[in-house]
Amino acid sequence: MIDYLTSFFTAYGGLLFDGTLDTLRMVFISTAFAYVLGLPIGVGLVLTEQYLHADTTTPGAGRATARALHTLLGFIVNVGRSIPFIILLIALLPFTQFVVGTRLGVRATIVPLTVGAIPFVARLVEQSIREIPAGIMEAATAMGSTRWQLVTRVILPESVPSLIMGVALTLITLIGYSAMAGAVGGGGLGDIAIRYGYHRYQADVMLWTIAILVILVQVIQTLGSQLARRVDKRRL
Amino acid sequence: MIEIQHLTKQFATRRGPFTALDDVSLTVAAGSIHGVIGLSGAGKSTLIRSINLLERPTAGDIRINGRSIIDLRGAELIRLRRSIGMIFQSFNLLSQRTVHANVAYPLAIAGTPRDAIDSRVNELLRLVGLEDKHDAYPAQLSGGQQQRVAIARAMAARPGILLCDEPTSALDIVTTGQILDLLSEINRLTRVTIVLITHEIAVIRRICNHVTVLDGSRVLEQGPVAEVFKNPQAAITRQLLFAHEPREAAP
Repeated sequence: MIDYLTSFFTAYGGLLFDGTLDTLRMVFISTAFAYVLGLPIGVGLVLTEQYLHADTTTPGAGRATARALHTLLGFIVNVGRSIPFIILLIALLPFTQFVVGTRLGVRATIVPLTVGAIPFVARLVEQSIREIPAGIMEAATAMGSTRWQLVTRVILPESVPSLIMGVALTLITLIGYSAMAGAVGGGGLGDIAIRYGYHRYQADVMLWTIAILVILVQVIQTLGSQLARRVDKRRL
Repeated sequence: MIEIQHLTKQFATRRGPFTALDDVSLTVAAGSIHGVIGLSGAGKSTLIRSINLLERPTAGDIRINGRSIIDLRGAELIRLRRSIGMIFQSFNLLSQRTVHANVAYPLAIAGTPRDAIDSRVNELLRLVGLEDKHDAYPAQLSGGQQQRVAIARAMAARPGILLCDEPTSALDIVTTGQILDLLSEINRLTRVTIVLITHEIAVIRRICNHVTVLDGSRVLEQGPVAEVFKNPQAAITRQLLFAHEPREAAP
């Protein structure tokens, strides 16, 4: 057993280590980029919705605009979420080539991962914000908060614990997506599993990549949950 | 002074329009404590929420110090709301912020300088008896303490009007008395005009000068508390007055 482990890791340890780092790099960078766009879209989904229902909270002038914007945002998000990631990956290849100048490797995979995660992030953010009790939003409105103050001082700070859980979920989902990217030369652990496990019938390499993926998911979920609990001031 | 004139509010529902307020008129004198009492669904919540335009009336007018507010929008609406404090049955404190930050909120959004905020927050927390709770979070406080923080927050920007939406309905009877005494004390010290809605006659008795009885979206009777309660005209007023009496004592 010891002999096996020694010889296996001498041969493949570096490969698996680099693959793990590549996966983490792809997933973390893509998640960060996805929040840059997904967070405002998620906030926009909630704000335009409230505009619709609370004829009161906000003046009526922009109602038609809000309705149109809400429908448009919802439509874009739904379209994005209904395309299977493996299809999106391939469909985006020309776009990826245009953005990063290559269709292969870690840098190329970040593009479809980001695009695929944006609608996912937008829905997660929307859900987190909806968890805020209506009374808190109402009190903030009654105190004379502007729309911007409502977002930056109430909506986002009040939903931080839930947003952290959302980030962990996004990272985990993207680990799965990144493995699919391996199928088209994306790099990372998925790439290793397919090249060695599938093309060369080296089941042990594949099993080790799976083991590493399982560990990554566990660690990210545990850290995410712990952090969310630690920052949440509602339970003391 | 708050003058509410022929206020009507209709909501569109799936079954057609629902009238929450039907030609409601009342006047709240400056510096008074005006109670609105009624059963659930009487329209009192819609009424109090109209005063800071959380609800926009369908018809009628609301004048504050002679100026109509019902068409205010944008920056003017924000300015109106900053001049009116409000507290709620469920307190509605920001759960992720300390007591200090909650009380500071109305001042912070108005761009008050930091040191001015700090001294005002200190003053308010002393007023509501929570000077040792600056750094506590709402979840660490009892219901009564949370409502004290909410009162301090509502009074932070020195509003001329304080709206109280069932302020004691989530509190026990002893805490209710303490919160009502605090509201009374604040009214005496600052001359803030208080509009309070409740379904409990004891709340009206304890702190209000004037009362309006609301039922079925309409005003049934109103006047000084002593007069209305001595000689109640509406059946619903008598029901509210004698709800806690033994059966044979009711007229």
